[in-house]
Amino acid sequence: MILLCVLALACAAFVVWPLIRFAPDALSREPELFEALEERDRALAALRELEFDHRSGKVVDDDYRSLVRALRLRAADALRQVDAHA
Amino acid sequence: MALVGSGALALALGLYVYAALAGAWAAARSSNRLQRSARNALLAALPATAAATGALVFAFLRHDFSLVYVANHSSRSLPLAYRISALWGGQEGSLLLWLLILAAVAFGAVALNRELVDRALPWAVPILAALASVFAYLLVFVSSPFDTQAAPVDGAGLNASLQNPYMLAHPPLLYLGYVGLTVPFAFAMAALISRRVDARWLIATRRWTIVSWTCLGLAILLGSKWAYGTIGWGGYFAWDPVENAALLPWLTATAYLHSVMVQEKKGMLRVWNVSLVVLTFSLALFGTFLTRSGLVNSIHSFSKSPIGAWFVGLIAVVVLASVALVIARLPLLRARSPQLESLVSREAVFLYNNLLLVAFALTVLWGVLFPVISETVRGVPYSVGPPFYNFFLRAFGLPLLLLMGIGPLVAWRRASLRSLRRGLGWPAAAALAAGAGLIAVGAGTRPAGLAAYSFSAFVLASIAAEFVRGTRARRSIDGGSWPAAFSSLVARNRRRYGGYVVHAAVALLAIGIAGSSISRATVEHRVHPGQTIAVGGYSLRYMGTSFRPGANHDELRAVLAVAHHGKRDGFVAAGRNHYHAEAFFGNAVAIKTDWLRAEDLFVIADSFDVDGSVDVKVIVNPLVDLIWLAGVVFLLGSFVALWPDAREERRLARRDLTVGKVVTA
Repeated sequence: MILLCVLALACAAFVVWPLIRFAPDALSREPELFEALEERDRALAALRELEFDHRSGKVVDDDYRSLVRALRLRAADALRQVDAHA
Repeated sequence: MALVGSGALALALGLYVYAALAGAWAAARSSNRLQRSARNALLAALPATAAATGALVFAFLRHDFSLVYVANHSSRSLPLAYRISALWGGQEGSLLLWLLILAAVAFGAVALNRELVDRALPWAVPILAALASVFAYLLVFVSSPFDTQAAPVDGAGLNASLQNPYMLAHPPLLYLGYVGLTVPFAFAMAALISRRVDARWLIATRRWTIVSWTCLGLAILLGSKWAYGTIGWGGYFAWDPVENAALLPWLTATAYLHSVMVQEKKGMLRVWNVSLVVLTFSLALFGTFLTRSGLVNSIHSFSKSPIGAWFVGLIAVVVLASVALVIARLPLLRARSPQLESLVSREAVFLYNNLLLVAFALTVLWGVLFPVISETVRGVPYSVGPPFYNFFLRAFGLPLLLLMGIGPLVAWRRASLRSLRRGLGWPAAAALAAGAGLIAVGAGTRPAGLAAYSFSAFVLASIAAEFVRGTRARRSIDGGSWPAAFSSLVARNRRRYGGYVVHAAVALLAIGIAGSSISRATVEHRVHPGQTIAVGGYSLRYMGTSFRPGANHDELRAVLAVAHHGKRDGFVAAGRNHYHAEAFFGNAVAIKTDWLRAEDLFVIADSFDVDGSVDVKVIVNPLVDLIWLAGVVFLLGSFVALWPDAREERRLARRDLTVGKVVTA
């Protein structure tokens, strides 16, 4: 029973502590930048994957040439978006 | 113990309710202080819930029969391990285990993602807390494991079917699987409410989903192994409603684990993915409801219970609120979502796989619900049996198996016919060779079986080809030895190559299911001592009976000498156990495994007579052990996929740092 009381008091202190301690009352707002970074990472990862698939023989030369140009353009656009939001 | 247990449960309920209400208020008002207080309440609820569980386990260990639950589910002669597992031997204890696991996964998910929860997904805390509140409320007010009585001299004992080593692991793993799916659900809903539909919620919950899915898969397999060795009909999966209930969220979670890669790689399928998360979690709740409510007739539903209505209400609220939220966020989810570039691409294969998995899940769900609907609407009980499920297993499973082989060979975005031809060559040749070989030896008489074997060979060959090609490419880039290149290949994309290992497990599973279903041989005779039974190359000579009394149960066995193709191969002993406290007779089957052939000799003995005669049923189950081997390979693949990827973690940390710098500036 004593253990239960100690547990209850410890829980209450743990819950109340953030209320009495100073903390800024604001959540961050950064979704656009995060989406731009995600798109950049996706585009760069897609380029890396295409290179690897081409080297391993999964993607033939003709497919590689047609895909790599589009992916490079997408990566460049994603990098521009990151710069714009940052 | 009753006071400590019920007090700890009441404390946990208070903390969950506070975390839900204060957390929702804080998230709506962007109040950081209150939000952290709510988060702390959710974290603090874990020790409170653990204290309640500890009190109940302690009561079982001390034979405290003043607790009704302990008296109803244990006895003085019950072995120690089963006194602990008796915790989940009944409804109240199972609910407590559910809540403990939920408290633990909520603690882990929130503590490990504190920054993300604080800054972007504050709604995750109140959603997790609200779900936990429902279970804590049920345990405190509706179905308490701490109800007391005047203590009887001995307890009623534990259900004899549960006195099995597999039952020490199966229920906790099943609940880990069900409950772990709460994390992706809570984070997905939090992301939708906060309008943060980027991939952070998805990355944060990825491992939780894989862990839950792995636990659920292992639980299904261990449950099958338990049924195989305990129920005594020689099968391992009977399409029982409760077995199906575990399969349903596993199927949709499998679909989600594939489609989530499409979102990560291409930003596509956002609506589909959140819908799958909702469907999977709802099915996990449905599974718990089905097991606990006694709604359907099943060997697994222990009793009719008062919590059924609560579960129906919870499932209804979860489904309605989630669907409304997804619909409200459709414009946001659809914005900047690219279209499918080609119908012949990796993402298209994932989409086909998703459609087949979800279609199969919905078919199984219909099979589970139809008898209930039929009885409610027409008043006529109707049961949906194995032929229904087996038909759809073939209809959806075989194309899925084929796609599993094709998927790894197809590039992302689009693949030309030339690329496809080059990739498919060797695996297709392996499949054709396997099929032709089986026909040549006379094992290809059943088209579905032939397709299962050939497609499995195709899958295994395509995985081998992927590893060989990838290692060769890695070596040409990095140089070094073949093992180093192989290691680097797997380390650079653990989820992909871990996934391939899981695919190999599924191929083994398919071979095991096909072999044990199609080529099984059975014979049943009443035999007297000295008589012999012959089946599938085995002969079994009945030697007589043996009897061994025990503290918990007595064992009566028929002892049979085994010979395989004329060579002596030891003895088997099958029979019945009599459990004293439970006044129950249970089967004790004998299984002799030939690991080299992955074949089981399965013996059931029943109806013992004083003249020494006994009914003996002998089943030869070819390839059945590949099913259990598949479980080991499945676990290995999951470990590979789960192993932390240092490169990815560094990349994600850099991304967070970039955002942090900008926000601070």
